[in-house]
Amino acid sequence: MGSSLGLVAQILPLIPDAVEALVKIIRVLRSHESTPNELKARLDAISADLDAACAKVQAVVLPEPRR
Amino acid sequence: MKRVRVMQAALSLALIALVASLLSGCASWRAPTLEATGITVEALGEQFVKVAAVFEKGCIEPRSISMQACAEFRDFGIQFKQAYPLLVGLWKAARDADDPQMQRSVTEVIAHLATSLSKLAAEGLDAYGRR
Repeated sequence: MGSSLGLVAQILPLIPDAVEALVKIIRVLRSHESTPNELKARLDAISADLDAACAKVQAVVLPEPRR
Repeated sequence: MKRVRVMQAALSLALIALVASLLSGCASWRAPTLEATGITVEALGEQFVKVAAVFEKGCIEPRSISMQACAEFRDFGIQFKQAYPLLVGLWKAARDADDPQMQRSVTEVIAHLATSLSKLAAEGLDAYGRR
């Protein structure tokens, strides 16, 4: 039971992020009426977010091989 | 343990649903699909960072995550870290080029990476939960 709770504590933070991203995508797919400037602004914002995500991914420390 | 399985299924489904929603985007909606692709790529990176944190902790603590799972995640992580900047570059190129074929290529790479990540995440988290 203790280990299950530990696992739940590890997983819980992951799920809302995935769901939140899903909601954002659905919102984007449903709201396709916008001016070119609005669209460009949103794409620029996504581009900046992607640069930030790229930096975070590169900073990840991978597990060292164990002997 | 049943609750753990449900949580794992929820995590995997959330990731798969994320990609599925992208794939189901109407091809004629160029801009929304491009936006959805960008958000998905970003979410994929964030998810990788969070799953990697679980592995980092679990692979240091003795018997938290199996050596095999740690080695597999390490191999996958090396590939992911190489592929991710290319994926971001591809998305930016697709945005600039307004090329539907390139956008389809980005979608295929995202689907492949997301599937691998969700499978490894489920394995690693399952091993972590069994300690």
